[in-house]
Amino acid sequence: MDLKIEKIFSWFIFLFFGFLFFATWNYGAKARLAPLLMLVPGVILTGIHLWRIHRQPELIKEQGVDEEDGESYEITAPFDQEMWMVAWFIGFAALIWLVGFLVATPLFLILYLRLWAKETWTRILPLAVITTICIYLIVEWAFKIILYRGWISSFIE
Amino acid sequence: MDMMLKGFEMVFTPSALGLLLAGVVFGNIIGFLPGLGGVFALAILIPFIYKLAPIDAFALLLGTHAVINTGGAITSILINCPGEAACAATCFDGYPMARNGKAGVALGAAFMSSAMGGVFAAGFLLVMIPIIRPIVMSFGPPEIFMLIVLGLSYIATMGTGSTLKALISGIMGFMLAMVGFDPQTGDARYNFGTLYLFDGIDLVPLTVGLFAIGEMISVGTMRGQGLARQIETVGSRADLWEGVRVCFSKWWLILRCSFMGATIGLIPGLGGTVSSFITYGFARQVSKHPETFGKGNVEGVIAPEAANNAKEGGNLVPTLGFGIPGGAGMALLLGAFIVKGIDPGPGMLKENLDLIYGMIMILALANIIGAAICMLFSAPLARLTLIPGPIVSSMVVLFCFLGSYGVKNNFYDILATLFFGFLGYIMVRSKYPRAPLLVGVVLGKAAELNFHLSLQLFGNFFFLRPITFFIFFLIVLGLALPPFLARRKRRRAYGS
Repeated sequence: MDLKIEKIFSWFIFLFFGFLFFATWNYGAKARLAPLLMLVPGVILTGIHLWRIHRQPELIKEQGVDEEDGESYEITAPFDQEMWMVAWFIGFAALIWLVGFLVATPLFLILYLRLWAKETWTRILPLAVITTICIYLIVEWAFKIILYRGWISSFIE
Repeated sequence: MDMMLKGFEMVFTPSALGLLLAGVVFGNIIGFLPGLGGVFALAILIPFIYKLAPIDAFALLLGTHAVINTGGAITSILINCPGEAACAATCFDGYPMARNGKAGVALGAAFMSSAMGGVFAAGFLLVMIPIIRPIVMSFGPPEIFMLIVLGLSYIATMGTGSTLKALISGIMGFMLAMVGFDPQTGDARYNFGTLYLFDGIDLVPLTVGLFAIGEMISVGTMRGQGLARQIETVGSRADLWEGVRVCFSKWWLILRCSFMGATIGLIPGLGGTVSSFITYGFARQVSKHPETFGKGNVEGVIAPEAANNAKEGGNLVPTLGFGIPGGAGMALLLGAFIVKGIDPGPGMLKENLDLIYGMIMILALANIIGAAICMLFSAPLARLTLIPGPIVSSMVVLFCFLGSYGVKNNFYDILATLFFGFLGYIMVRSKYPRAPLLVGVVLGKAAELNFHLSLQLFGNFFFLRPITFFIFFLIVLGLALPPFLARRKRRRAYGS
């Protein structure tokens, strides 16, 4: 599965670099020099990597990610579950856009923790209420940052 | 000397000390939560430094980063699960000690050796700055440009991952840095008619998304379970003090391991994991009882913990002196410098020397405070690892969105965070390292600027200047040597 994702992602990078390579020619000589100096090796290296994925998939599978400072983490959860998580996060952003932070926060916490995490109401409700109050007090009241009110608020006003 | 005193003085203000304390507490908590690390901690703090004075901002960031490994020792010893990969070596003897009822001694020794290693790191940095300063001050645009390329290539080639993918990742980062106005010509590049991209890609949504949201996608799937399943008991306060006493009796081992850790940290790309495993092996070699290693020898806890924290001092030398990040965490710190309008590297050594000395003081204080907090609160802190994954993920995502939004009060920053979060997740799934991408973004603009200046001042063959050519040689060597060695290793293995 991961090799398939790697293959798709590498193709995406290859095409993206290729697209940028052509887009770069629209800029002046000075403005396009540094990007082109990077894009040419970028396209070549991605091409080599794609060739290796297709010709030597066993070798590619052995190569692990190496993030310094111990930031490497193993993904063990099934891919579909993680796609659900992505959907939840996109949903949260959509909710913020629709109703703003102060309504979206408790709504998201209640829906996410109840439907996804199957937490108890005794845990969810205090958490949702306290978090929303804390956000209001810290961000709006203390830091004087006006939180996004959402698309719907434009109709109410 | 005046600069040094001024720098030290800057730290002793209520705001800097308060933020240092907050950073240390936060760093300790993140450190012992398995799966969350130093880069994650820095990524979610960066949005909050915008309105802070530089010294306050770095008290928060460096305070957090300096003690990550100190907190990481708690889970290594109590649940045999390192809070940080760099703390993995601590598990070998720390967990057997906990199983033998000596968890308190192991913890006390780990905290004290971490503090001693951290203070050594600050001293190491203090000695190194006057040594590298005259060298760095003689650098012009060609040398700085080559240094940036060297930094990119080192991050790409060090470690066990694929060099090819790391280079591709670095180029992706460099191209992201090209978005927005070109400082040379004023051309608007790669904005594709979008107003949001006119000023370039903001570092906050990028770092928060890449390193925090990506992790939360995994943590959120841990339904019905905490980040850890069970914990051993911490033990009594007397046991903790016994561990501290052991450290003072093993001061020579701590000193040697701290020096090794700091020296390893000098090489960009070599992380805490390398330093802790090397010093663990060293401690075993020089021990009077090597047969007890792996069964609960306190020296096996002391050595990697001292090296872990000492490594930060070494890591800061290339980061502050040359603008080359020593690792992913240091790349984020470089990003923070840019957020605060500070030019890392030679520019910083010229204009912000007092800030550098302030950071050295922060490093020393953070390690002492971090160890003290762990000594006092290790038992209640350890229970936080039992918080269910979805609760952690929901809170972190909320703070990531709030942090990204708060910088410019722009809803599109939330979307950018989400986009980079997904990119970070796909990169981990595809085994593409994320650190080179960040390094590319952070150093990309400076690289382009110095490249154009070099061309203008010294012509097309600017890289033939002696120092520039030497750095160029190091880059070629750094890129060519690892694949050559790997191929030779494969051939030998195939032959045998």
